[in-house]
Amino acid sequence: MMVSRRLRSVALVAVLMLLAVSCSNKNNNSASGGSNCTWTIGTMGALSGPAAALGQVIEQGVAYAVDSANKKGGVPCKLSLLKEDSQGDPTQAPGLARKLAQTSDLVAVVGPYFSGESNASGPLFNQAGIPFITPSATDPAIAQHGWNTFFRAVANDADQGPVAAQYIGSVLKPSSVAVIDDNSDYGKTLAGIVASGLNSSGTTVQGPYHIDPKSNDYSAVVAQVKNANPQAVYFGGYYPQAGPLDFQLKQGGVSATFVSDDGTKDPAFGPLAKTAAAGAIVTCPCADPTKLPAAQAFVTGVKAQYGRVGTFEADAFDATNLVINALKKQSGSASVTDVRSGIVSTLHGLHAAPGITKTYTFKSDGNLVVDPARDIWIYKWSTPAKDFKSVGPSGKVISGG
Amino acid sequence: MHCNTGLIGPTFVTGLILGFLYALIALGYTMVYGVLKLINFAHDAVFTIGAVAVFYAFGTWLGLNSPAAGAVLIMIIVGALLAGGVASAAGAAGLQRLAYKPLRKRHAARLSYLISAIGASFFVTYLLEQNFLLGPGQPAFPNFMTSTKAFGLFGSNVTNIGVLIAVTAVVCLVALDRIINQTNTGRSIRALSEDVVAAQLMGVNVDRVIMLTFIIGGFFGGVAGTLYALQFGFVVFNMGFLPGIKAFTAAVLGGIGNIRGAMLGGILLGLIENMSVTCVGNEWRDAVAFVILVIVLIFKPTGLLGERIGG
Repeated sequence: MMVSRRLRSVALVAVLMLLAVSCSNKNNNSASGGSNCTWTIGTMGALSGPAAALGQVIEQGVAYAVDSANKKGGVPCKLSLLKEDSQGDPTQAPGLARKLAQTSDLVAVVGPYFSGESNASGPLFNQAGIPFITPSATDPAIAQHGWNTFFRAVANDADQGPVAAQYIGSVLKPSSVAVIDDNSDYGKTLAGIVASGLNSSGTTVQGPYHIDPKSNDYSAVVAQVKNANPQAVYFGGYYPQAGPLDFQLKQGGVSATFVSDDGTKDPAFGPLAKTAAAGAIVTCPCADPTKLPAAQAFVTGVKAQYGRVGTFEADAFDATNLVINALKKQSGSASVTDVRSGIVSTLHGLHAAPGITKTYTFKSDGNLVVDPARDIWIYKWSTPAKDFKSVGPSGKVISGG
Repeated sequence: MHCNTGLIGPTFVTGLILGFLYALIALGYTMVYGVLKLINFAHDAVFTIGAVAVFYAFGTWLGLNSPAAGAVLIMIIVGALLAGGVASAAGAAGLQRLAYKPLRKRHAARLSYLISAIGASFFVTYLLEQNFLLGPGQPAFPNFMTSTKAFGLFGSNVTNIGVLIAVTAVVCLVALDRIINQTNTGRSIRALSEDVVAAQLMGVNVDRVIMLTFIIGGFFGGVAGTLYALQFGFVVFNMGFLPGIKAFTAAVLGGIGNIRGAMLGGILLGLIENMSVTCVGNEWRDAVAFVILVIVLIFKPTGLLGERIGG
């Protein structure tokens, strides 16, 4: 008996050690090339967890830019990519941000991908003087903390919300709209902006109703929406909730058009919403790269490597390239602190720098100078394509083009 | 506070359907508590196992991803519910064997069971999250039953799946009530819940009865899991977590250890949660449900129907 117990504890220890070893090997380095110094670009977001589909394609865009730069050369040091998986969870983000900040050769971070985690980890990056550029987090509040090292490579929800309200008001022309959100930093703020936009244009707003993103059962909200009898439903949040919500609304007898946001714009929406997906509309501060002449080489390359181009993938590629181009101006022998502040001042000094999706000029708060009519796009769910298909830039769609 | 009376009817209907699901899950908590005086916190994982087993068996292996009709549909539904129930019963039996029995044999403190249960629950949940099983996403449940409107009631749409949930729950609850109150197995379970030593002296095989309790509770958990996945149209690794907590609450509300109490508690909790939105926002519904739970426990500490397992 004693022997078998001892054996058991030995086995347990062995298993634990194995786990520890496998965990420590988790971070992939994609470094290659012959320079004798290394700069690490960090990236963090939902690589696993419920909203992983959104995070994984953004990470692909970042990795594709780093790999391309290492192949092409021109950067004083070779680049390595350090990925941290936050699962999109604001409570996990600060720990990972601290880990990134303590990486000795870390020069910049592309991310975090979502708004909640950006609000939660921004103070750490800003305090450490690390430039962080998000390709996808759209909550306006992130730029309101006074962080000097924060940059946002896409339009934010103060731009997106009014476009969604305008689209609903002038294209769908409902007499009333039910507004629902998922209680997240992102969803709640965006839904609030859309609601006030609709109100000011004279459309009746029902709600806002809040769903619990941890729950799968939205029957109470469905009953409320059905009772309010709107012609359109706006949801601020992400696809893991948007899909089941759209499904349950249609099951509950709500036939209103479902309108949502960039967090819903993923093919994974379809299997969750099932037949209810048909006709769903999303706005996204992301242009459709397949429609942009400057992005064709990227689209071909990414399709060859990963099969498809995802939401914000081209914007993540652009954001990473802004960092890489800034790094080209730094010296390989400079201290990491100098490189970091060099990137920050280079990014602040950009004026209409061309990327593949748009041009980049940052305001002092880190927000991008945008033209909503050109930079915010309308997409519609296509059942045959099993994905959202671009209708066009919002300016053209809303003016009836 | 502004109350919208127009919502009373529709939320009553949706709350009732949700309540039936809670009641089915709550049976697992209450039966194990009745016999072992132990909260089986791994019951949420047992619930998930049933749904996931049906997802694999009927979706991946049998490929039943297109809507069926008539007798074929009824056969598939009965098959799916039984398969989900059996898978969860097997899961519960395995759990009992691996996480509880070794502790019982060593006369562990009650707290150890609790931790063992929580550990087992996390283990199963995060095992399912690995990419070689479900992964982190929400894959669609096999689409053999298309959800359509069956009839309207009090301004709410009742779908065919809603009807299925109600019918299945009533059948299961009546069947279990019969098993507990009218069979020898039921008598052994009741005996064990009242006095372990006396039951043993009367010839009750304690190990066997405990195993049976887990199997019966697990079976109903699996049926509930399958219905839940059918209603919402997908499975996800942690789908049992919230319904598990709610069903546990329902069991306490009705009187934990009491089977009819679990049924009553489940239905009441579903109704309270959903009907609360007539007066307050949806984000308050859990708060309302738990306030009512606390109030009930203050006045009736053993729950609405007390702790006795049988009727």
